[in-house]
Amino acid sequence: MPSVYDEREEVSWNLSEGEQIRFKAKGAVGREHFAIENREDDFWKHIRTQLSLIIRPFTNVVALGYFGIIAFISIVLSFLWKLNEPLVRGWRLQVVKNVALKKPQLIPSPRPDLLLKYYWKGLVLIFSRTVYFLPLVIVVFLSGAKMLGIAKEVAFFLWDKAMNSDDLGIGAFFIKKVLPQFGVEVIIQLVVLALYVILVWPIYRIIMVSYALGKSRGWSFFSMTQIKKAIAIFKNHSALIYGVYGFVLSVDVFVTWFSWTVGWVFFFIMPLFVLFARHWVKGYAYGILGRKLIALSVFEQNESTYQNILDENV
Amino acid sequence: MKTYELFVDLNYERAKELEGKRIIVTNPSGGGEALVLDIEDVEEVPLQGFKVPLNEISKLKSALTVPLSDSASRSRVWQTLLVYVFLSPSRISTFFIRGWRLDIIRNMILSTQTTTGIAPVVNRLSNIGEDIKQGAVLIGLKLIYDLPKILILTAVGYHYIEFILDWLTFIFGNAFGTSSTTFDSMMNDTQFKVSLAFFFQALFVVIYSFFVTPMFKINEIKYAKGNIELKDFFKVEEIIDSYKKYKKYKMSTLQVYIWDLLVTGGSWVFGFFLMIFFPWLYFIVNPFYKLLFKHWPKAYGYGLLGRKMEANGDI
Repeated sequence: MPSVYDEREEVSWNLSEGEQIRFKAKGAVGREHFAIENREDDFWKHIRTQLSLIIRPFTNVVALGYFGIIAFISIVLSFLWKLNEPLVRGWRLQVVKNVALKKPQLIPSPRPDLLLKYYWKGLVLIFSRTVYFLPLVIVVFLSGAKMLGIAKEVAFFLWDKAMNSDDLGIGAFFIKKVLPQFGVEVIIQLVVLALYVILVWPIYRIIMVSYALGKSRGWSFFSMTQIKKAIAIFKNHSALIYGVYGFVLSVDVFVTWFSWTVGWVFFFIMPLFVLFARHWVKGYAYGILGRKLIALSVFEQNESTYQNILDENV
Repeated sequence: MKTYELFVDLNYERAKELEGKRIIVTNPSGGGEALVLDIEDVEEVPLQGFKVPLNEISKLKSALTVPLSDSASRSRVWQTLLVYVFLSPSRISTFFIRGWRLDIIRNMILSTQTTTGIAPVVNRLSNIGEDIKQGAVLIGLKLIYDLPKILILTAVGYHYIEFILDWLTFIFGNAFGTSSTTFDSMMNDTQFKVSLAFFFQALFVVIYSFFVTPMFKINEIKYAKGNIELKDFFKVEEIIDSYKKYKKYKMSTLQVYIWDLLVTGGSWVFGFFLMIFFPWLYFIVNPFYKLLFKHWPKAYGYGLLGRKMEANGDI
């Protein structure tokens, strides 16, 4: 150590406002860690576990039989003006209930009287969903003129592409023809759509879970008390609900994309795939949500004990 | 004995006074014993003129090494990327990643990195859901703050979109040989005159952004730390307080904000480029690029700013 440093003079040196001395060390002192090795970090293991839980119910013959029968009926009905929709949605509602209540046989039984029950509940769901979507449809309809313009351009583009008479790339097409049609209307539509996705739809799903568990009846989708209750549940457990909802929405989009792009190749087994991937997986996910909400004692009052007793015997 | 590089925000003459001196820091932030530092050499690092963007780029470089620096971090990057890509088609990813950025800022300010690191854990749906919710809330707030700007932009864009798009197609088309218009023919076809109204509209948007966005970000930093609640975003006292902080940390805030704009703009250009020329790669490559080169640097930058303010006790 050079001796000059021993002859220091003491000077009082205050930092003025805004001054600061920041240390940066040569070496790895005080480095930021993006992530730290953590024994609880079981991301992949957790995914594997969840995937096996989703598939395991199908590993017994009875379940496969139940599923096969429903799939068969659904495929047959789908050729009759898509009459299978209510059946499939009601079936999915039963899945939600079975998973939430940890029934030993999770795949719903295809007993004929139950099929009618599924059908009826599916109709209730489809009706409620349509009403919930109505404001969005109205908003889109009001700016329909713009959309027609865009639709026309898309149609011409596809026709030209088919006739090979126009060599606008898809990107250039988007820039030159589609974007100029956008205006304030589309901004409004996007905002309304975002509000739907973030607020309205999760509320609808909460009431659906409540309906599946028999905690509320069909008309509860339009009852202010039920809606307020759902909003309260949503506020208190938004993290859990958004997590499940985000997962389910993503599965939905993926299945839709898959059936549009690749589905025509497998058109025989597509209905089976859709039944499994979309309806079973979504039903399962909402069932887990229901299970967790029950564990949190979220559904206090049971308004329809009578209906519940009937269901339990099934 | 360790050698350190000290950076200090002083003018050169004042800093030169330190050369050869010994500094004793009697109460270093973060606690601990006093520090004794012997200054060997003082040199000037210019932070004005052309060096500023270079300084930002070097900051960006160091920001990029952080997620990739060790195996735990890298695996967290993959996990986050998987969640981000999975949520992308439904656009929920926009909300998710916004909340994710807030988590990073919060972890950096509160130094909660001792257990899990700066980046939030995405193991469970409830963690992911928490980020989605935070993101939705922040995006909603920002939308309200930016309402005047959005309205003006829509009006401007609506009027001049043909002009802008024609030129964009010309630039990209000629660069890649898919367009045959020449510069002269473009000039001939352009009947656009820059009107005074357009000039003022553009000026308004720029001034508005430089006033409102950094102030919003300081509000966000305060919210991340937990000093304020959501409704305080609309409280006049908090807004005035954030403006005062903006003034105090003017250089730092503007540096981070300009970095923010560069990174966002670069990401937009990249996405645009990708969508036009490689649309089939868009849904995989774009999230990957954005996560590492847009969202992470932005969050890190504002986290550094927040950390600086927190160290000075200003939040």
